Amino acid sequence: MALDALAAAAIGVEPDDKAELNNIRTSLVELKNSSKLPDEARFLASEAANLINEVINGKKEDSSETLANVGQIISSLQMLIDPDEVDFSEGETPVSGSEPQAEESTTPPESTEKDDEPEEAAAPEPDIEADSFEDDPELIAEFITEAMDHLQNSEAALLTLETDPEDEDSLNLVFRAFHTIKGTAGFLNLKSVQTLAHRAENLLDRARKGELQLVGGYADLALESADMLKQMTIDLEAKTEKGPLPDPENLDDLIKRLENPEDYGVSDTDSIAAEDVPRVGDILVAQKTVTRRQVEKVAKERGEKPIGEAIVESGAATTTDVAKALRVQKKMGGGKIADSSIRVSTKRLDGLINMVGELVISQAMVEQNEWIIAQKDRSVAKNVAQMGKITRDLQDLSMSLRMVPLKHLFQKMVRLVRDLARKSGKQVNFVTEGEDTEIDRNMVELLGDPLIHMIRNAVDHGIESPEDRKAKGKNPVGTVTLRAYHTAGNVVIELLDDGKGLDRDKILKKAVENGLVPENKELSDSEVFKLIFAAGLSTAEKVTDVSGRGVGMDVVRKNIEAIRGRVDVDSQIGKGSTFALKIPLTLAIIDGMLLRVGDEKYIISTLNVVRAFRPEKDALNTVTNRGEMVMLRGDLLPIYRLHELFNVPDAIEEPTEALLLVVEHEGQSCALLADELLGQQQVVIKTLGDGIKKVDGVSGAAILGDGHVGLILDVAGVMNIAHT
Amino acid sequence: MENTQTVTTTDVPTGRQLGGKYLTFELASEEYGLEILKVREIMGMMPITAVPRTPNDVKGVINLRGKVIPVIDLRLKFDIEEMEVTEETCVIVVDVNSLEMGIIVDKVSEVLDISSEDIEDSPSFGSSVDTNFILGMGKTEERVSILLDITKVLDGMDMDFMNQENGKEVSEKF
Repeated sequence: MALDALAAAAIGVEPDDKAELNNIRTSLVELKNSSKLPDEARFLASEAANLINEVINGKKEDSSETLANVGQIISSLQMLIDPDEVDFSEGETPVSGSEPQAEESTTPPESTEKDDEPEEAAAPEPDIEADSFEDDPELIAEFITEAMDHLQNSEAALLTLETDPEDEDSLNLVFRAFHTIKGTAGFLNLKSVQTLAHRAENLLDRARKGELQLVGGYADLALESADMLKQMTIDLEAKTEKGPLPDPENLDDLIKRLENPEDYGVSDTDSIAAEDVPRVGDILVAQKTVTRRQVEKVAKERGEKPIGEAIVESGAATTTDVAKALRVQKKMGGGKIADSSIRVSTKRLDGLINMVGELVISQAMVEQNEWIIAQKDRSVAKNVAQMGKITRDLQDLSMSLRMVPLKHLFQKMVRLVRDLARKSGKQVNFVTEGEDTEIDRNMVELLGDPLIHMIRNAVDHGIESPEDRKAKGKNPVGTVTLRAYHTAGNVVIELLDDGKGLDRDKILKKAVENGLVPENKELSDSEVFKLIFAAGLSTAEKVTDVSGRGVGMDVVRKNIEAIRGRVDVDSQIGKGSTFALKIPLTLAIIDGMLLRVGDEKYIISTLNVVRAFRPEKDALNTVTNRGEMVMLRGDLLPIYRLHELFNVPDAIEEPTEALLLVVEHEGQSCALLADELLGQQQVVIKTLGDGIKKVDGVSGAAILGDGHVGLILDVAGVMNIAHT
Repeated sequence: MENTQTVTTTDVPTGRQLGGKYLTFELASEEYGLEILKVREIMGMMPITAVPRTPNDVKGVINLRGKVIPVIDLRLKFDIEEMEVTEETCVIVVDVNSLEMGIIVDKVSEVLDISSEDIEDSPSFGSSVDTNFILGMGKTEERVSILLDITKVLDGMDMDFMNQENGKEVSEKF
């Protein structure tokens, strides 16, 4: 059995499947007796075979736990017998120091006290390579999602490490991420990914051993590796044709640096810290298998050998004891595993949410059915009420399925701020609050760009240089706060900085120059601040690498409006600015006003509606007897009759008896004539059905409380129709 | 033409295997047939929400268990005068290349098993009547059903707004 197949078998086997267990044992025994393998691998194989034996003989109470341990040992074996070594020695990176031995020098084995991942003693084992799954699209796709997850997690952990280099959990998390990527990449025969992950892993391994701390240059290096891996994963996703993945340009260079960071001047500033994770020796002492003196003696004499092996050789403890201690150590170091979860396609999820929505409507129909209400039997009423409660719970639950915390998004921003601050030579303390606030998954993706722009602005323009800040009597370290919280069906994301604030006069001057506002017009502060969202307006004196071209805030506004949100700005000069994004929880639901026009019902997003009123006769004007206008607080607004635009019969023609709805879109306002306002409700947005393509003035449909379909008006479209 | 037992599926125009089950319905006292495999379900008339600025024969959209689907009035589609909705008026939900769509008909009759021999080519009326969307004429005891190629009915003619690709685009976007 090939090692990969063995690993798969060990994961898949059931504790009571004796035949399969036997197979695995046989393979392990073969491995144990194979002279090609390094001693360590044989030691692990024999250990695993022993464990399997115990499971077969029913000696272990918790056999699935034992099997999990076997699986772990086998994966260590996979690392140990790493095909990567072969490739590397064949000269993929033709550097002088890249003989097979180069590996040894990268991870000097002298201090391998915590020897649970003994891959540094790897030996060539070319057979494994034959098992290639590179062309299986499903496996590749799985690898991509998995790798992306891991990279994202490790990025966050790396950043945590920078502030707290002692955080073992984070270090282990990063290590595991690279480790897993390496393993899977090897399995899929993605050699460059594997090599890179392997080198990065070595760097992290040194950190784990306490040889270095992941701060400063080392942290940069690790982050760079994560980035490169991410890039390679993205390339892999984009790759269509078969064949090997082309390597990114800097890959070789990065690998060289990872291999021997010190030669390239990489260092940290802090001294080496003491280890927190218990050593194998300590565990053995604690288990009373060996005495402290024995361990110390062995540690002195062991030379190049890993401590576990040395202890076994000295006869102080058996291999089983050592392996147990290694596992204990792994458990303690390995930290907790993330919440258990499964991946479900969004299509299925949407299907479920749709059906639950239908259930809610059907339930309401039953509940309001006259015949049912008239029933004297109280159990009917009771059961209907109970069903209503369950339905509502189910609805809440189904809506929550799409929700994800903003954590990942915020973590990306941590990285961004870090890089920006480095580039611009500023000192920034980035604080995130409310990162557990949940929001629709689709929204998270759409929020990324606007947030990046805003944060760039905050760091580049908002926060002053440390010298300036000192001169102004501020803390030289600026603070940027990213905060999220819920308010009434919306999520508010605020970005606060304690920088120089927006310069009202400067913005106004620039806006006048650009012809955005007429000269000498009186504007309130908030009106002035809104001007920064206009295209082409940048108050930055110089265009820098990161911002100042005057497109950023324009993009922010457009993107936020596209997801039916809005941006508010508040600023005090010298004190800082606050940008608040108010966005709906989900794209699938809008807060709508229900309008009646004749017999038709329309829904209009409340975000578009400024006010609704019944006009007085003398507020109405006509232009050349056709174009109708209404005067509202000094503003003249055109009136568009919805019943005319949509050919609805039997609608109220006389504005003074109907209703005018002032709507706004991208700074343009108009008044729509409707019969009446029926109320406000949240509706789930649906398409007009496959087959009907875009209809002017209608952005979608929604199923109303009575089961009928209501059309959702698209204000921009309505204005367009009226103009033509 | 020889009466052999070999079936050639590539032989499209006359010899194609049109035989099978058809759902027949009435429209202005003519009987039409729809391949049963294209029929999703049959419903009584239900409230239809008109969609403004769409062609005349698009009556609007309905709520099919949470899914919004468009509904076409087949009478208007065939330039027949519109009729008052009766007890017997039905919406047949058809599946056209995995697009669901409702068609309004006067009355649904029955499901007929029509063998290939009983299906004749659609007669030609010259240029005055478009027979492109007719699969053939199904003969049963003294009756003749016009077997519709519903894909062509809903896809071709002046209905390019119902272009299948556009429909897919919309559905993918949301």
